[in-house]
Amino acid sequence: MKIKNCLLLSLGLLSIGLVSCGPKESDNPVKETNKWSISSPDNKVNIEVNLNNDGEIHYSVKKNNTAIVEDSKLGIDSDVANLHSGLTFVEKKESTLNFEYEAISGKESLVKSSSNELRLTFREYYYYIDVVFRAYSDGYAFRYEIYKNDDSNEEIIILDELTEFNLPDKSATYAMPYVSSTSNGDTFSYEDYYNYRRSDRLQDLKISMPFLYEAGNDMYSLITESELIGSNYIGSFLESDENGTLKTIPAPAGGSDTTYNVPLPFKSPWRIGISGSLKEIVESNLVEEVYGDVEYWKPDNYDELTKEEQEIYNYDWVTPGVSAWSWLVYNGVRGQNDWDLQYEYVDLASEMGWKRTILDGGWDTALNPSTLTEFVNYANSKGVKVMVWCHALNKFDTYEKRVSQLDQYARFGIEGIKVDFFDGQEKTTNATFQMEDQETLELYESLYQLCAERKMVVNCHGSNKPTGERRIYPNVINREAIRGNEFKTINTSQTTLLPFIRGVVGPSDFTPVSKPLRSGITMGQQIALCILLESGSPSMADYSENYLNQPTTEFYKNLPASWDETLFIGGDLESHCVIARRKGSEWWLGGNTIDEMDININFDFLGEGKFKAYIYEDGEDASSVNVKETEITKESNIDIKMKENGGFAIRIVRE
Amino acid sequence: MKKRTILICGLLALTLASCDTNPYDDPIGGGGGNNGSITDPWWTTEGELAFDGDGNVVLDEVDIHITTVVNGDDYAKFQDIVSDFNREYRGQINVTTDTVNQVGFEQAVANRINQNSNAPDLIMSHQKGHKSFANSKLIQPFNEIFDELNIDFSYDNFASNISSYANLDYEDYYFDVPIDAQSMVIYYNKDILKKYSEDGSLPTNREEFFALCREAQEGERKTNKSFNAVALNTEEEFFFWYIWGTALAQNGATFYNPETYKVEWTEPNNLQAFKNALNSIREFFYSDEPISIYGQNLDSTNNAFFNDNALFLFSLPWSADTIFLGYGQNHSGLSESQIKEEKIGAFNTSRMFALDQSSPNATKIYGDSHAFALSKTVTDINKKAACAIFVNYFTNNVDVGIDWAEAGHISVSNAISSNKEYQDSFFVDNYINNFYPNINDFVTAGNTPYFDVTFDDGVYAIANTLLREETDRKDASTIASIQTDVNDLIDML
Repeated sequence: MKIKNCLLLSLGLLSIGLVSCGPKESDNPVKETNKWSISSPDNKVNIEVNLNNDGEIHYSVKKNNTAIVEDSKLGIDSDVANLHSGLTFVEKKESTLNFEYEAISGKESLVKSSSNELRLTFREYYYYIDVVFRAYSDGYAFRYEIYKNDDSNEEIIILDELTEFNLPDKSATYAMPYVSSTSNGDTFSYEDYYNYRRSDRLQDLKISMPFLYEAGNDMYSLITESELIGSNYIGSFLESDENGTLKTIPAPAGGSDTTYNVPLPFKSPWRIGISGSLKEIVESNLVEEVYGDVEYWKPDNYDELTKEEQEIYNYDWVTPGVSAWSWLVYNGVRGQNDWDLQYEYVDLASEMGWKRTILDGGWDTALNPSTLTEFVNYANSKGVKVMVWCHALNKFDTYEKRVSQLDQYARFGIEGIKVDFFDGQEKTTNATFQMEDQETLELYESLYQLCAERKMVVNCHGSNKPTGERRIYPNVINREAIRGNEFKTINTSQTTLLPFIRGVVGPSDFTPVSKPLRSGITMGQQIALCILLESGSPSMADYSENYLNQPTTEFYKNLPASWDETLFIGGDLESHCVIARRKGSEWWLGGNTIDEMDININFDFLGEGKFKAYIYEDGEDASSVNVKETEITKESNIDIKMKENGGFAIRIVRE
Repeated sequence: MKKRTILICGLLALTLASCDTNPYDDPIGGGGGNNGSITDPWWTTEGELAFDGDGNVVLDEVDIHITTVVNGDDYAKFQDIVSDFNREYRGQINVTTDTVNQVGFEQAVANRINQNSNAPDLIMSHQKGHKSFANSKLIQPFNEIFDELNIDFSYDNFASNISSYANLDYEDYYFDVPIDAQSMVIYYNKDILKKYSEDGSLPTNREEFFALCREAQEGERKTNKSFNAVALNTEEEFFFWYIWGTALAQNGATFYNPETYKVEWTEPNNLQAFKNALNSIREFFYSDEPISIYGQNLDSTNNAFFNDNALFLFSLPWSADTIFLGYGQNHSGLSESQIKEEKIGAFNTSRMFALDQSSPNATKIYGDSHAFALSKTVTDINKKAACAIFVNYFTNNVDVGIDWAEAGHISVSNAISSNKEYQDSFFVDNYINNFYPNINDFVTAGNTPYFDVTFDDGVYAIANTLLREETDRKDASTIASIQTDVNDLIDML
């Protein structure tokens, strides 16, 4: 039952006599101020917060004095308390967070994080809501923490989250609104188009995150959420009012619940706005950084494990690396249980030095166990690990099935799962949950943990967006939630936009091919996409012969799947994108474009010394590239020609 | 393959009939061959347009949504065009799109418009489905907004056969803006052709076509037992729509009576035309020297052609990219340009099925034509203007015409097709013009509100049933039986 503020007020006299059950005695409201602020360590990002006369929390964000978020409400409505109005300020705490962490896969191998934190505590009688703000040089983040005066673990029902993002007037936005992925049901898998709309034209849309908008001249902000897994909460979307103010709403196409029970104490996922120039957006690690100085996941009984068992949770067995994948080009032609084909792709992976091969949907049809054992043994003997496809809601809808199935995979020596259709497509079980509702988020987490216990890596398909899960579960090395080559009709208005939006927030299984699937995206751009979109296990989707003995073979043989450093070189949302990434002493550049374009690449990001640059440029037609080698230094400039829908890649090796 | 039954169609029809209006009834004065005009318009217009000093309309971030039936390889090119338009009109008009599968397109879009839920502003789909949209009062004409914008629109500016249906039988109204035409086309292997045609010339009629196929088949099979002259996918709806439709058109068949919409296939001349059309296709598969195999699917026909196991590949014009890339995949070392210029040529079905080559029908090609239609849910005049500007852009801009041609669609807009740049563009010159030698020979289903019943469950059902038969023994009785079912259903509707 929903007990609202008015009821509590009517019981006010009674509560006076029940002091020990009321607010903590130490929490006398502070009357000295109702305005607070916090800035990033470099003072570029400023967050202002206030509690107005109605007891509502409001905030705004500026970067370099440009408004990123204008006056916007915060708060949560629950069945036990209005935690969005009639609030009383209790206290504030400020702190500075400086730490660094190593990432097994991602944009940077060593991330240094620095932020200032402001924790504001408000209460509505028995219930407290902390709003924790953080200001980083490249954006802001905040989350809610709800608890009760007696620190009890009672369950409350969250009726509505009232987080707002009031965008600057008539901002240019790039949004992927909800649309069902299937014609006969409510499914959404983050695989639609990002489209431009002005912020006052977003009404009636349910907008997925990440969501990008332009707040000013060369000032952008990418709104998304982080630390969703483990929050006991739900995935969120955004909905706009007629003025362009966005508000969080439950992700559509989940389960049927519109309210959510959460145990106290409750920590919401982070709401973050990566803010700054396109360079800052592209290079940002904020989605993963906001987790703070955390450790990788360990089971509750960690201390009781043997030393050998404990070493599992070092996660040093997680090896980023390229995967061979035959499904895309052979779908409908040769089944995944065509073992000749799968052996061919093991040989391909072995020859190319790739880490694993993927057996996709249909691999276990009419499976003879000895066939699989033989296959895995063969693959392993060639230095290739085996990942298998499985249906999230059919194979893993109960905990018992998860354990049993994963144990079986482990016995066969399978190294990872490509787990698909969290969105509910092709579901044959009675599972009533899907995509981003509470039970499905628990399923994701359960799978990450069970796989970690078995030293298995995870690639989520038909899934929700990345929310930084690699910080806790580094075995989650890849993720779909992207309109990739699976949609053979994807066009370059999307592929040039993806690095600025989807590619920012986590691994992207775009599944690049070598030769284009259609002439609309050139071979030069396909090769560039291997760099423009990072993944801990990029799935190479072409025919094996298109990788072997080709002018591009050396490129694919040496392609890293994790990076030490990422630099945005240039581009804009309407035309092109160029990104450089470093692995060890090698630099890799990728660029793509919508229109034919000549660009000049300046190599001033290189260190001292001489380098050899291997340049893969659009060839005579969409299915060819020209490969050139040249000596460069950090003083060098190179002119690159990109054809319409084209691209390029450069591998730079220190001499 | 599409296997809908009369019963399913009947349910569909009843569902449609439960809407505000019955698609089978012409609104006041229109349809049924009456060439009527509309005295009680069902659409409304709100607001005013603003114009700058040069008389150009001023629009401020008007969003329009297009639902299209295009969802094959050509959808990416459509997206490219939309993307270019959006960049050009940034700040004025913003276009978003979605696609709905052609099977069930009309039903899905009708529901959206009727419920005004997720309704498109513009519809881009096959013209053959638009008559029922108009009769159901789901779409509105472009006249008013074209006038407001001073867009000089006339059906005279489009290919004649295509535009002849575009007013949907509503006199003086522009309900449809035609875009293009598409049918099954023929790709051929230039290397194999050269072996059996001295100068590499193509057959000019059915007799020459079969002679060439049989000669090539005999010659190639000496070294390649897998060779069949023609790779023809009979397992998808396009075979029935385009090959069977073209065979009927070339043999002089009449699909339905345009006055009554009833089908009259057992009328003696028409029955003979149907039988001739059936036999013209049967000869491919069941003659003493068949040149193709019935029952092959898309993958098997493509693979046959990609591996030099066929001289001719009957396929779709928008599959050209797939075919070039697939051929290249099986012939390493060839560039895409080499494949287009030296290896794979384009050809057409004109005269391929006509048993009487002297008939004026022999050159006809039957297919579909995409057209734009404006949903009745659009009431804001600024939104109507944005739709009109996009439609005008798509049907008059030569660059768009070239891009759309590269997706396999010949423009039926004279403003584009008569342009030298368009005609000189590589794909138009080497492929599109060979796919359709004379666009005025292109015929479509025309205007019947009973399209689903007449074609999906009638015309196409005949072929689906009888082309599995090696002889014409059951032709007359089957055609008569299906005719009765179709006409009964039309009576019921």
